[in-house]
Amino acid sequence: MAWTGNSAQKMPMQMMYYPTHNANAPETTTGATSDEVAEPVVNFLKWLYHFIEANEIYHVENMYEDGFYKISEFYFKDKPWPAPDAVQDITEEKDDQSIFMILYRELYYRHIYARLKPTLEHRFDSYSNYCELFAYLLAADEPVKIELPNKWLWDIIDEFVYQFQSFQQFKSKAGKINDEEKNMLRDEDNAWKVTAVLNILIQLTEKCNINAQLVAIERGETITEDIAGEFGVKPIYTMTGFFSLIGLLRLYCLLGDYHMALTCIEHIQFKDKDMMALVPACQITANYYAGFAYFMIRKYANTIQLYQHILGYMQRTKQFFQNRSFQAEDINKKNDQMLALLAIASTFCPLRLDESVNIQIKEKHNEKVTRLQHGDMTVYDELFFSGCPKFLSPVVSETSSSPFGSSGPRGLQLQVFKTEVEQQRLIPTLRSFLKLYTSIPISKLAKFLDMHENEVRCCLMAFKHKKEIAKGDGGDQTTLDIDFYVDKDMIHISDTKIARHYGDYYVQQILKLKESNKMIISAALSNTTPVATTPGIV
Amino acid sequence: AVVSTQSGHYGRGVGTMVANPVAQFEQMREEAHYCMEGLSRLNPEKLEFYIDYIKFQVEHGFYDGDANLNILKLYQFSPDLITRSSIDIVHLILVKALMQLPKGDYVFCRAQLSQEMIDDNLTKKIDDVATLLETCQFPEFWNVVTDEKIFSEMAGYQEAARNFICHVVQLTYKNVEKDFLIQLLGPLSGEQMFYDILQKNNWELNGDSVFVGHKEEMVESKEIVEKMPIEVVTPLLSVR
Repeated sequence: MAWTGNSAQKMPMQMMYYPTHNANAPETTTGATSDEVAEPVVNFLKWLYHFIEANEIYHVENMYEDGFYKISEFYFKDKPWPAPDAVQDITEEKDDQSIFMILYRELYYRHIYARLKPTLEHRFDSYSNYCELFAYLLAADEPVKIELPNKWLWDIIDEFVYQFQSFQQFKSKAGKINDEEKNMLRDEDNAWKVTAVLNILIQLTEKCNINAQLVAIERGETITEDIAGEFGVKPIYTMTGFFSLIGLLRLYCLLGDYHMALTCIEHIQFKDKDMMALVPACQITANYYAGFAYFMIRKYANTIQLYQHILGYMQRTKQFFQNRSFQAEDINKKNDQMLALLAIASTFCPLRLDESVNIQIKEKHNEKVTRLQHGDMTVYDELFFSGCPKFLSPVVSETSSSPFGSSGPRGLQLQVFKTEVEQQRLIPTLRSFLKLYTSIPISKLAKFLDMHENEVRCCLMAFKHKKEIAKGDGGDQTTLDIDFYVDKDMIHISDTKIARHYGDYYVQQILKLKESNKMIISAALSNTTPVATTPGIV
Repeated sequence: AVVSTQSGHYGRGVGTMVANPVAQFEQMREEAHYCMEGLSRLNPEKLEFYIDYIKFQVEHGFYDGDANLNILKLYQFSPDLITRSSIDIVHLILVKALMQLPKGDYVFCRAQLSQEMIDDNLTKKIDDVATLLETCQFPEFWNVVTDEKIFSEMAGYQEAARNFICHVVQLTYKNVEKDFLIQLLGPLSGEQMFYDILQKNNWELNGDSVFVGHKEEMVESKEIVEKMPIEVVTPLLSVR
């Protein structure tokens, strides 16, 4: 059903813009397009335009989640979408600053960043486009009428922070920038400034009073216009505000400012049912960065709690991400990063880990974990590097000497981490000796450890001190760690027994069996029906 | 009235005589937090104010971690604000943060420093002191600290350190030997000071040992039983 321009026309159930099985046909069309754009793409653009203008959020969501990705896969695997001018012609949109065009340009640049290499001009243009988009939301006197799906809002904020990150990394590779680009950078001095990026995100959070709203939610109150303000009652503002909080969390972590990062999430409870859960990618990002901030300030119990929870969630919902590979890649990467950090955190703060998580850690990092337990210091570096995010410095000059030294921002954070490693050095050995006894005199322990008695006393206090910090705010956790107290020259150690956890093991095996069954059934079915499966139609 | 006395390197003895330090601190704190709302915390013009604020804190024994961290943030975001005397301010911030142990302010500060700031000699010494404290090597800590001017001239430093030490002793001990405890507490001005500390912490002196607190429940034998949250089990219960 081709587009006839009649807005009363209902969208067919099976979206016509899905590539059909003769999509390998050449890309010329007979439509009145100014570019050689394939017909399904034209249809997609026209319908998208229609739905955005008509504010039909349900259809916009479908097109965004499914159509955009599939068409990108099929038609634009290694080239950009049609230029914004061409799209203006296709959709007959007169105003090139209309919200549809701004949104289209956002998609256009996002695709370039994801599949191709953006040029410096792309970076600048994309930045201007973001400014337009956020000005549209922020500068309005009244709340805007448009509604957008949550996933799209999250992706906008996420991509915004990502493009800033990409720009800083680009600038820091001073050797690879040619002269022409250097001149451009010098002239166009306003783009992607860290203060501007922060400013936008902060304004988005303030516009809808998101902190006040979160406090009210914490207390169990309902959100009224008094609390949320005129703008905050509209979901587009509240959700953008909330996602901006997570965006700020991420940005502050990348800049090494864990204090501000944790202030951002002060009022967010990381439970399944809150605003975060609306967009899985957001939940994963939020948990990762929050856990990382706690990790860097040594509150390992919080990190472990968050990561366990989210890793379990990711395992259970794995199948939903499989069909969108660019997201699946990102998610797998976060999964691995969290495992690496968990491996370190559980050495410093032994807590009971779920069986599924334990298995994953063993699979990924078995060799490293053994080295950790044997007190090998170099493996901390490796694990930290695989687990940490790509740090940034707020100011990167174009000249090759940056004020942050050749080690870069990542090196700086590594140094902070290494002090902790150094301070924890004697603790695992101490722990392993204490585990063997229920009581032991200090003199005997000193002989085993080959240290002076006073050194041992200090070590025992350090153990207690570190443990207290690591506990953080995680109240009810099953700890695998020993506990002890000292009575003059005698140490008394606790005796914790762990009952065998059968349940976990059974759950794992049942899930595995279900998966195998599914695979067998689908394999059997596909053997009997020789249909050319159209991509995407399940 | 402005009274300038002999200059102390770290703010001690320089400055105005303040009639009511508490009130002034409150006033500065309010102003600081007002300036730090939203993005205006990055306004470089307020840097002078924040610097005065921390010097006030050092001189009169107050603390505002948020504002001090903000100075480091300003240095990070606008490196052109860094002058030759900035490193002194950084040191003040670090030592003040260290005095907050067991609270983790020091790590927050440390994560915001540039390589140059880290490589400075005095920063390295402060780092070493931090490690001594975090690994609870208190006798060694007192040795090192009496030689370093920045600590010995910092108002309230000894008291803060002793607070931390007592906190750790409280965590660890049921009964601690009196001699060892005295060693941990560093240079005391006399027996009376020792008894004051005991009283402050509700510890009892019993001959040659000090009773800190009952700890037996810490080492009761526990058995950890398995708990299965519902969301782990729900995927299994679904039909098909």
